[in-house]
Amino acid sequence: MLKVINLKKVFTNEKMFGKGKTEVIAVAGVSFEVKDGTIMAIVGESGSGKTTIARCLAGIEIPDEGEIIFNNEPLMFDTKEKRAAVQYVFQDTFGSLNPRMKIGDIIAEPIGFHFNKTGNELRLGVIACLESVGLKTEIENKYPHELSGGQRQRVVIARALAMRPSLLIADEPVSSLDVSVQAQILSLFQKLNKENKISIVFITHDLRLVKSLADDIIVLKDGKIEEQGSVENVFCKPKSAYTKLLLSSIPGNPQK
Amino acid sequence: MSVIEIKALSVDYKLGQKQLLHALKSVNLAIGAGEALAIVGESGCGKSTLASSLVNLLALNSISSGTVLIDNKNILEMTNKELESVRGVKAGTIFQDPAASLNPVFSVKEQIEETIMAHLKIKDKLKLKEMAIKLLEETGIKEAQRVYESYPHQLSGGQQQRVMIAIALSCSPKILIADEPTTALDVTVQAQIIELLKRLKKERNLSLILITHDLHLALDLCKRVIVMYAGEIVEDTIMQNKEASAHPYTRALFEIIPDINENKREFAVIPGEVPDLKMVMNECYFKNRCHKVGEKCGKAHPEMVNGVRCFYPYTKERVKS
Repeated sequence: MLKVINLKKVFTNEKMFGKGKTEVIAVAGVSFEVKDGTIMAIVGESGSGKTTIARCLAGIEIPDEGEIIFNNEPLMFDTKEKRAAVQYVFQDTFGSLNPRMKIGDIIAEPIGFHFNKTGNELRLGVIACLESVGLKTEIENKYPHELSGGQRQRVVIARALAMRPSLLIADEPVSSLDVSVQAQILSLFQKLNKENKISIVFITHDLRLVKSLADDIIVLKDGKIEEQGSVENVFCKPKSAYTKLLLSSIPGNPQK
Repeated sequence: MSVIEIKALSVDYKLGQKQLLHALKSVNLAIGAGEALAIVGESGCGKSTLASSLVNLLALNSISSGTVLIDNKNILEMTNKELESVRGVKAGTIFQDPAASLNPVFSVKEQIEETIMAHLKIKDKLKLKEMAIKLLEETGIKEAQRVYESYPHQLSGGQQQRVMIAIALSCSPKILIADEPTTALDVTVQAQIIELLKRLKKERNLSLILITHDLHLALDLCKRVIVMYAGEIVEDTIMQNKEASAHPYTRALFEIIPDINENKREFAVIPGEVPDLKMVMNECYFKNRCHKVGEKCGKAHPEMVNGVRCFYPYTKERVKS
């Protein structure tokens, strides 16, 4: 469903007072494919280009080279339907929600705009969304700062689901959450993948989460793919030295 | 002989006019010389409050009772002047975010030497430099000379944390308190810092107190694990793995972090959230989230028995070490 071919992105920093430029190659030729209804994990350390890939898929950054094919067409956001089809969940839940809007309004806004719903129909839509992520409906009258981190991340996911997307891009969605809440959010992602048949691109630095969650995995280092394949293959028979290093760094891994 | 002895320590935080948040409820704990101990629990369980009270770094709106004895002196009754001879000298501390702990406008050189000057009263510049570089090298920094002259923003996260460890060890304390020292770091760097702490603990015979939410990480470094829940210690055991724990909460904490060696396709979840710390209840605080809940749990508050605060604990499997 999603095909990325030889994606490249270079950031140029102009130095102060115009003396020359420095180039940072964030993504250096990355190709991968996300199949229908699967979860693809992108793993790497800080600075490996994970987030740049997510931002390219989101249309926030324009790639310098390469193609992104979504449902057999180049990825474009020129119609309402296409914009709704790909949705995003980011790490910072506080920054993703407007602090001056009530939760109910935050979710109602895109539903009203994309599906032209009003009044009672709109409210039912909001309630359905909240329930699908395991939130109580009373929450619609609250503001983002009144919720816990886990609840806020559920609201962000509910808003993304309101668009009935076929692809969800999640950039470190659980990194700022407590361990017990992490597990709750991850099992929510799994449920959405199974029940709603949503494909997910899951970006994380924590390899432990990947094994139980994803179908396929990409290990990134310095903007290049170190290793890719099914989760089983990469975890049980890692080929690259870097993947082995990552695996041996996991706390509690006896393979050390 | 215990280095730190905590007796009936309770800490409340004042919220507004009449409300109190009970962050720690009558905690008893003794830590021996050269012992590595991990304090584990979710956010809001009182881990960090316990660590702060060890060096009396509690917030101004806190009310504490009980005693924290280091070398038989009560930390909680000391004046600021007296505390200077404890903080840094007897107990060094490192925190989660090294970038926030280091002062951005002073170089590493100034920050290390300031600590040594203040506590050890050494003024000779060459001697100071020699000590600082030696400390940096001891924490595994390769280009000690360059790092010595750098400012914090010129260093990577791992290097910053090593500098923090160097500062914490600069007055050769016997106790090192590490509050989530690797949470802000990448996995490979995390592994390096844990190795470093292990080595330093052995070389300097430190009493190490590691605060973390990651039980697997805790077991990599420590044998003794204190599990906290809602401001109380619920389990205090020497453990090597999940089977050696008895409290249902400890077992649940093991399970929520997926085990890389298992082929499970689902996540274990602890339902619900940490209870409201404003209330004092005559029941088990973990009752509503526990899968082993029984008749007694709602009627009385469990006491600590054989290192476990539970009416229906699991039987520990003794693993031969």
